[in-house]
Amino acid sequence: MEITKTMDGNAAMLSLSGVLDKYSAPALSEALDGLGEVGDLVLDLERLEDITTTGLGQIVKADKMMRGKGTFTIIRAPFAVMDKLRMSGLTERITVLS
Amino acid sequence: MKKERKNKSLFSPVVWLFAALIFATLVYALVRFLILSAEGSGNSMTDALFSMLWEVVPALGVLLVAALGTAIILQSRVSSPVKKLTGSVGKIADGLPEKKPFEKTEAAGGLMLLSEALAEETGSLITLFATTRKKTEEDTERRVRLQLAREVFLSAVPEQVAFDALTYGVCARARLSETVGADFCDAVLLDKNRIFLAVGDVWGEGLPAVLVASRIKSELRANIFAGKNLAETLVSVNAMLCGSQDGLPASAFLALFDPGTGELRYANAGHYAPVVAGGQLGFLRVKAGTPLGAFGEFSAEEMAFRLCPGQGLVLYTDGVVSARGEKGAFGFDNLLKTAKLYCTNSLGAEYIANGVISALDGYSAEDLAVVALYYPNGIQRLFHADLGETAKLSALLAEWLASDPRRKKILQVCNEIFVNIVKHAGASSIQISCQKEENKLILRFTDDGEPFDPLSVTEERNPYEFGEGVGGSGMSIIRQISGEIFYRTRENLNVLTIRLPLIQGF
Repeated sequence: MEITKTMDGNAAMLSLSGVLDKYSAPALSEALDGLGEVGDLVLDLERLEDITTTGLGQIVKADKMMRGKGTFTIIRAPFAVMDKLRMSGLTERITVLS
Repeated sequence: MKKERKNKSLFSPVVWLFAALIFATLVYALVRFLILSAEGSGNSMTDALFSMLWEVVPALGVLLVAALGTAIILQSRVSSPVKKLTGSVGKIADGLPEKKPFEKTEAAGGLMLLSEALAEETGSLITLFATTRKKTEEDTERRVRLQLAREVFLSAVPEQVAFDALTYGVCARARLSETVGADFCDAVLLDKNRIFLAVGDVWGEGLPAVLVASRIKSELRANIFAGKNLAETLVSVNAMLCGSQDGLPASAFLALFDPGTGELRYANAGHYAPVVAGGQLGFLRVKAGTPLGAFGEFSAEEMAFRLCPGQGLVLYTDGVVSARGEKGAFGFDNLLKTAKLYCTNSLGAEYIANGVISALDGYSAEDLAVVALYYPNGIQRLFHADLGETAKLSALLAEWLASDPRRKKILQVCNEIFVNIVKHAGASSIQISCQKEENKLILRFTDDGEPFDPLSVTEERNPYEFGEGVGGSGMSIIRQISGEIFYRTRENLNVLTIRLPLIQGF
């Protein structure tokens, strides 16, 4: 999986591609840890092929990280990924823009 | 990174040697010329010069020839081997991690080059050994942690739990990957009217995830045994996780099944919807709910569904649908197809669970857990392995088969199977199950006798062979009425299954 970081002032966007699973989740975890103090975080999942529950754990981590500090938004999740976000109940708690 | 080396020749010092010889010879010639001139040797300067040359030139020639010979010997016996050795050391150095490029000063000769190369590579080797030792220690620690995680996991989540009765069958299986995730499952017979089923997935890896899974499973059981309903149980588990420092979220699906009525009560916390197979096929209608341990504000809702006889329920974790093969993930569609395939064969919960897991052969699966519930239809009775029970069996089957035109032959086959189990299998009890599933009649004999496959031996030695005066084996009779017969063993039980086409109107 590839992670591309884009900064715009106090906002950060991480664009993910490939499969977010137990092998790639540590890389996203490191990327999240390395963001420091950001006011807004966006995860762009347009090129994410699939996500496992280990990857969903990183989504929850990102959401927890931003609570009380700023906004956390997921954008452009493909159908397969969106389906898993929805079935896992995360779309009810996290802002997901298609 | 490849390094370029300057191959220094031993001719460099030899050239200097030649130059020194020539210089010494010139000095000597000058001195001799001055001496000869002063001595007044000959009649003139010309004579002195001639005398000097006569002394010096042959000596210089001899010295040059000797120096040339020495150079050739050095080149062949010393310089070439030194260069080869240096090259070998350099090649070793090429394989070493992160070291300074190999360089050589202009003035150094082969031996100097070798000395420096060896010193440099010795440093690299020391670095390599230190790096390797560190990696080995880390790898050992990682393996120890994984082994510990595996043991903790298996102590909390057995790889397989299976139990069944006349009116239900349950099989829960968990499979660990190398990295030890934390997909867990549970199946408990609470009382004769309640079976507790659970499947869940901690959204992490390794020992931390396994410890969370163990705690969740313990908390689930504690709450269920304490009489809390499913929603209250999930709320309790969420509170436990949110109050801990582990920080790992998890999903879970819980169900209580009443085999007497077929009622399934369930509650979900961010887990994928189970599959209902047999008859209508599809995903159980669930509300996604909220993952456990992710949000402090949490609620769960209990829902209900009534399983029809002949239906099965397949609970699974993400490891099943996310297993990756050459054509991508296994996916939900393949799960549906697989569940349908194994549910409609009416061979029980264990068959379904194993079928789903075996469908992942060829896929690279993470950890996974599967719970299969099978709710058979028709009638089920348990008989003593006693010939006196045959009359009861005949009455039961006659009632069930009613006006089926094959009734006489089916009764004949079933009676003979029963008799032969009693006579040859050494069983103490025989369970009879009769079901209608889609377009099939399913008759199943399960006994606790010695394991024996009647289909793998000749009819003469077959313990299920049909007795004298019956006229042919059970298999041939079954074939006459377009049926099929299967034998398998399961947990020290013999299971003989007969499948017949269902006749419309029967």
